[in-house]
Amino acid sequence: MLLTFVSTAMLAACGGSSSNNPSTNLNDDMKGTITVAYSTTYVFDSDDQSVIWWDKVKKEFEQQYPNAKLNLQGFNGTDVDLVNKVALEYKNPSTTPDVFMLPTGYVGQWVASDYLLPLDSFVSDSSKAPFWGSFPKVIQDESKIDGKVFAVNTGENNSAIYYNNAMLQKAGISVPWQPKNWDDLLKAARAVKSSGQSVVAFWAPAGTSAGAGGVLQGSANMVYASSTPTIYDYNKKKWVVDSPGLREVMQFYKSVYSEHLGGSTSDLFSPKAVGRPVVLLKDHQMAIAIGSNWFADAWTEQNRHWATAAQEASAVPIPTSKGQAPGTASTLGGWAVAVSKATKHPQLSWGLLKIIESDDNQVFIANRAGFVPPSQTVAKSSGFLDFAPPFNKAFGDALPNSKPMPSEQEGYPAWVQGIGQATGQIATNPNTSVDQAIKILSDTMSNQVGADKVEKL
Amino acid sequence: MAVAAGLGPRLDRERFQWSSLVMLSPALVLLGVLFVFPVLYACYLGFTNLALVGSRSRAYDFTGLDNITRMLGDYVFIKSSWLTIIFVVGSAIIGQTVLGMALAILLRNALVSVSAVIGSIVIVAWVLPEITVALVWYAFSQAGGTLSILLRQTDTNFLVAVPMLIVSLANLWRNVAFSMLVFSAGLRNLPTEVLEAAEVEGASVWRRYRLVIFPLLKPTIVTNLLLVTILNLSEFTLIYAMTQGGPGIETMTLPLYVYQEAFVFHQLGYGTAISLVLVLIGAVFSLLFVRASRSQV
Repeated sequence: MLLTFVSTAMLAACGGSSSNNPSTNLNDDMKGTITVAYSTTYVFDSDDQSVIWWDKVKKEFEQQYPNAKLNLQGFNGTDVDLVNKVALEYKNPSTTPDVFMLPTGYVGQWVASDYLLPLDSFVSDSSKAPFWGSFPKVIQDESKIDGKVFAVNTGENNSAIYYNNAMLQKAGISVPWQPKNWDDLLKAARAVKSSGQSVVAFWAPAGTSAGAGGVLQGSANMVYASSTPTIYDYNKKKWVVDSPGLREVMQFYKSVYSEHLGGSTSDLFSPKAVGRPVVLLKDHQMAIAIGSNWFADAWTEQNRHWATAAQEASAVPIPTSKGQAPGTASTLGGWAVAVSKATKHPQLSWGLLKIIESDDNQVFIANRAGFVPPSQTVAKSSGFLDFAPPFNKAFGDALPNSKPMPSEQEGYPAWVQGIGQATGQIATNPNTSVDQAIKILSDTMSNQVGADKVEKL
Repeated sequence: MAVAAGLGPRLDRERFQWSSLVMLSPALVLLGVLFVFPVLYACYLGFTNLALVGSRSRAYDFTGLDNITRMLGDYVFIKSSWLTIIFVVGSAIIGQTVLGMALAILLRNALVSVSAVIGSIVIVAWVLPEITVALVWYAFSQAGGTLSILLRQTDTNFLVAVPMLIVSLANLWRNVAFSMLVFSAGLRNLPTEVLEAAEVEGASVWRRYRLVIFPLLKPTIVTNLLLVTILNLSEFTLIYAMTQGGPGIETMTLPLYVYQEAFVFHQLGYGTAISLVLVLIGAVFSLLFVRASRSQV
């Protein structure tokens, strides 16, 4: 009897009560406590910067709204850990945070769960959202689903090619180097190798160990720079698992690894693979790398300090495979803040977003987390440009040709796994044919999302 | 007759007193809430399309045998099942049991000081946190690591070349102490008169082990097999920290595949269904061992 009762009570708790409708229960006199969930370890270059920034935000929030309290709920671990833990919190409205700072790629899945509040009434009002007008359209639309805005960006990452000036000069390449196509990339890497410098000639991220971040900052850039830059076909609602562009990417990887131009499997397959080129470039052990904008910020911090980075290294946009329009390409992915549908304090929650998006806080997070700021005003401010010159400017310039990933689609983690396995297989065994590599991606996707959801271009 | 009636109920038969339920109820409630209910609930979720996030995180359906059908056509699942069996049979059942037994026998016959030192070293490997063991073996097997230097192949990353062998060895290295301790205790408790009798009768060392010691140790061996199988079937930390299931899916044993489906691909329903298969494999192994232990010595 008692057992039945307890079980039923638990079932009810697990099921979550849908009667808790926020719109009928508004308590919006800017009073009360709101909770914000965020990652303590995965956004900022170092954990202490995360503490400083969130303490600053909390202080400003509680000064501006004296009757309100902000409850900071930080999570350790990677972006995947954050999303998994917070997803469990959202299962029940009583544990749901009011505001959630999440990777932009997950916004769509949160919306599909009906967890987020549309923010259109806030962003359309310039008194409530003074920053919105300074966001470029690509970033405004990033978290727009079915015509509604569900999250506001706090910073973006995009990719480019980093290179060591002296190493390229020693290989007979004049700097500043402007590669026009992938052949130029390979030629330079070959020249570095044949010049006898015992360094990694070209860092082309491969394998699955670095997860979605590793693919975003690695092979996905090459897919976007290929002749068919489509990962997900929105018209047919299918994943592209074989295309001339994907074959170009696999052939590029095959050239890099069969000619021993790439990194070692120890570095490529390390769980810390995304950070390896930062250290290898700093230690003068790498000539050219596909890399993310945050590398430049990492070199300003203490434990990966490279004081002469600006003099010794350069960044240049990733060229398209044959130099076709628009000439350069990059992935785009960042972090955004969203308000939960279950919140009892939507106005107060927006108040927090407004503080997070203030110019001052945006400069801080862009510099300490290695972001390109979404606001063009902030991106062009000296506080940002002077922090890590000349790299910050190069990546800011690359932003217009940068594209977000189709990460709101359910099959995206499987695509990440598939392309990681395919490139990883080439790095492990360069005898792998392009057909075999394509088959790995295609099999992984068919197995996970079903053969009817994949297509060949 | 009358005297017998005054003695109350018979004591030579199983009895059940309903009043004992009251005394048992706290334990029953705890078992029900913390064990029976979650297990049954998990079984149910294994037959749904529940997702961690996305539309099916709220509105999920009972999908009948869909997950099972999908599993049968899922090449990763099939490979993963084989890898799990290779891992458990190779690393745990054969490796750990044989090496553990060998160590226990050697230490039994060694000088006390030698056995104390060797025994402690083996146990240290077992006491180390799994994550430490993973890191040690990761470094050991990299290109330029100790293993590659010993084998004079400094360019070979053994964790990529033979990943399953390396994680199995790492697991064996860590867990052999457990079997060694179990067998040492078993050997120590053998009846000395039987062993002495065999020796006096002139049995060779090999015959003594084969016909006297091993048969007497059989219950210990079966218990050891049961425990190491159950412990190793669910091994996650060591493999995940060393390879995350890679390269490709070369070390993706079932616990890692469950994690990938449930927490990377967000397919909680399918992940749960696979974990039910894992439980089933464990149950089959356990039944085999229990049957073996019942047969006559």
